[in-house]
Amino acid sequence: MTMNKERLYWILQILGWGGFAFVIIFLASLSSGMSAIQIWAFVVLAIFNLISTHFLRYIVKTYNWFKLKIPQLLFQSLLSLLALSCVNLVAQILINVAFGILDPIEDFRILLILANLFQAFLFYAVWFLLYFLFHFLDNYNTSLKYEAKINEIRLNHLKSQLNPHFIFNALNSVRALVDEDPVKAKTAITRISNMLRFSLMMDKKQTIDFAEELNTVKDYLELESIRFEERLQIRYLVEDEAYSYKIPPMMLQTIAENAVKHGISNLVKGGLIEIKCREGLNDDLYIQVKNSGHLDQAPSLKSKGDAGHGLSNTVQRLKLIYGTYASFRIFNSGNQFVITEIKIPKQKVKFE
Amino acid sequence: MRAIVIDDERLARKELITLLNQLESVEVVGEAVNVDDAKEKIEELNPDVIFLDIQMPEKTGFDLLEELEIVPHVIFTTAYDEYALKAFQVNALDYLLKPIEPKRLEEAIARLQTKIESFTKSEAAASNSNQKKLTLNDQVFVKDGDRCWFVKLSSVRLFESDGNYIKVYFENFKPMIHKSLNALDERLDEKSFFRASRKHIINLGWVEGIEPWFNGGLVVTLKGGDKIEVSRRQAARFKEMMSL
Repeated sequence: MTMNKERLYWILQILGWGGFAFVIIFLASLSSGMSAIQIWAFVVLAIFNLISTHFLRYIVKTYNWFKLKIPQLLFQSLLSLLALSCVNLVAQILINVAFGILDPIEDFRILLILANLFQAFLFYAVWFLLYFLFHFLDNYNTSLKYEAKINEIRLNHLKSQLNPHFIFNALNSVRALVDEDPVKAKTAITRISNMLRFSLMMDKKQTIDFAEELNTVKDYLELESIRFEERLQIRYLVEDEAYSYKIPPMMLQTIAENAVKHGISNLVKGGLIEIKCREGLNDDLYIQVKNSGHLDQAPSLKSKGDAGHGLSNTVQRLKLIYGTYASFRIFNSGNQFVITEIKIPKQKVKFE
Repeated sequence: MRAIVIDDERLARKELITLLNQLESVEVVGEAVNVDDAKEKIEELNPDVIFLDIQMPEKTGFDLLEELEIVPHVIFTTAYDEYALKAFQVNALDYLLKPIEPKRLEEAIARLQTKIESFTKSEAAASNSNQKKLTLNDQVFVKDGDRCWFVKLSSVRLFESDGNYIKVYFENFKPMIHKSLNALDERLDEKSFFRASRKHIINLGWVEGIEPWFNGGLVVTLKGGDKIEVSRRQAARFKEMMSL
């Protein structure tokens, strides 16, 4: 992208000042006719203008004038445009000397000098305005895009918070349990309320204690096993070190939900979900969720499709919170299982 | 009426059966845990209505409807499948949201009862003899990509064979079903549907105009403007049927 902008800048510079030279030469030749030497003098002047405006751009960029307040920007730019116009005037005289077309009596008249100065100032001012206008439009555009992206992530985040399909199915199972096993029904209701509370409270936090997230996932999988009964086997392999980590809320939860939705619920005989958490060598936490099933194709982690929704969201969140320190992958493990793995660094949150 | 409950979750079936048992008009004659199981039980028990869960492992409720020869009345049960239900854009269709509200269930049953009664009346009037044939009042389940319809045969004006598929023309739609035209022809009531040629079966109720064509054939214009050629061999039969 910066390459493109750089190219665009040079194309506009060359076209702009080339056009400037062409128009002046054309107009002058219309009125009075012009010698070859005069034409060359104008070409050199155009090249000088190009170089001087490039220098102005260098100043603007190096001292970051885009960040200045309006009054200061106005003051500085007027001053520099004026200075540049004076230099331009001197350059015009020098060019005339060099080409041997200086006419001291004619060219040093005060009125002509002022007119030339004004003309140079006008050209620089137009250049400066266009430069800033382009910059601000471009900036506005990118900030809009950024804003839209952030909003989209937020929205997706909200959507993935409460899975209505799960909630209503769980409530339906509980309704049947009330007659069959009232004690189990009561426990299930407590678990559902734990989950609801968690998802309502946690969506504003960047990260939470690992233990808190794991408890929610346990509640969740217990509820799903009421639904799926013998079709869902659960196994936890969690190292003690894992509890010293903080992780983004609802992330393991989303992965577990995916494992149920795309794995267990598609299998007539059901299967296994295994959650494995271990510390890596470089102070990072590896969380693996292994579920029965098979990935026919890699789920898209970028698109907005429904299927990959939870996952693309997870990838985006990891990137927003940890930059490049975190990672995500999902892959087939043999023919029987799918493994989803995230790596989270210890306390390297990008921003709070 | 006799009902079968189809759901992969035991507790969900139990809950619905408990609710249904409280209603006098319904008798639950069976339950099924997946599509293959359901198909077997439906063909064996021939229920009036099935309560069908959409999300089931391996095959969905829609797959079941596609596989069935004769589709009984269907009431979908679902926890939250807004996409699945949106698929039914054309036909209003009954569904119950889980957990099921007893009052909603009762209403759905009552609606179905009146529907069945009007059905049996017109069916008795239409065709007593060939009960196995599909009449104008029967409906077929059609799924094309993401969209589904229950189409009453009386609104189908034309079946057109296209390779291994049949295009079903109704309203502005022409979804495809995976069937051969010959098999369909045998199942359709010949008083209402006519095999115009190797490629076409037309609904006689939709015929608007008839013109002679080359070689002793005919061209039939259907309401809506479709023009269908009737082969020479069938033209004689067609004239015979359309005249007194």
